[in-house]
Amino acid sequence: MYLDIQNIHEIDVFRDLTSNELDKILPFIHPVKIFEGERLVREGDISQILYIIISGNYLVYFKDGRSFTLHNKGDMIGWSTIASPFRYHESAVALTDGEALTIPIEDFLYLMQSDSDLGNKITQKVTEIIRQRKDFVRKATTEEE
Amino acid sequence: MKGFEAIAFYNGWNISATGILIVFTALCTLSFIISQLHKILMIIEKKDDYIRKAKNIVSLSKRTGSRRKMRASRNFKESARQFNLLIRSMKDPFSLPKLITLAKKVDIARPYSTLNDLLSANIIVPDGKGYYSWDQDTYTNILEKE
Repeated sequence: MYLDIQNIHEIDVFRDLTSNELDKILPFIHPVKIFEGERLVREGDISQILYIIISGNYLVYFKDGRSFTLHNKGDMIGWSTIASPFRYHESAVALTDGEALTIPIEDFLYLMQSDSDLGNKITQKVTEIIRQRKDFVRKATTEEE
Repeated sequence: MKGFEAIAFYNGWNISATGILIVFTALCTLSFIISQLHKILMIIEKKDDYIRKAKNIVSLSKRTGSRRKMRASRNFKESARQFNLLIRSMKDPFSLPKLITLAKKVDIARPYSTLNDLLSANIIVPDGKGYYSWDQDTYTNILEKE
């Protein structure tokens, strides 16, 4: 997949970013092909990579058996990459072949710390995702404790 | 007999040409190997990735082949039937990850994409709390249409 500012800007999480901010984030984003049945993240593992879906269908699930599916461009997997305690709160597996953008945590945190405006905008987007998934996450976190 | 005459008499020119050719070929081969060395090193560094991708491709091609095109009809029907049998052995509503684990245990072909097809067809529907149910009416309707 070819990446440029235009097609990155079309993704929801980056929609509010300026051209200058997109320029900064572009080198940290890596497109990957994902195969059916491929496990992306495992609940409890140290979070290292954030996935942003471009295409394909994905099952996100928790140790207690609850799950939901993601299939929209811009949906994120592994949002806990940027939130303490930096462990995945969920597991995710690809139901079909697809494509995703990956952002390694170290690069991502460095970027957010070096540019507070950019960091705030991305944190707001991640907070939205947490709010949407709060019931799942709350229960999973409570059970872990 | 001396000089060029002696060289010609003892096949000196041919031997020299052969020698030059051998040395030149060896140097070309060596320079080619050196020029491609970075690719070999990259393959060695990323061998785990390549092995994983190759395994994925092989397992997919083994399982799919021409079946993929037929999935919408006979295969889908058969997979739906197999999933239906599995789900009957689970409590309702059921867990999708547990369903996949069961499907893999009984060796259903392509459990992930089949599950995706069943979700897309609304045969498996979410209960809004993270669990799922089997919609028998939709299942029956789809079977009748086919």
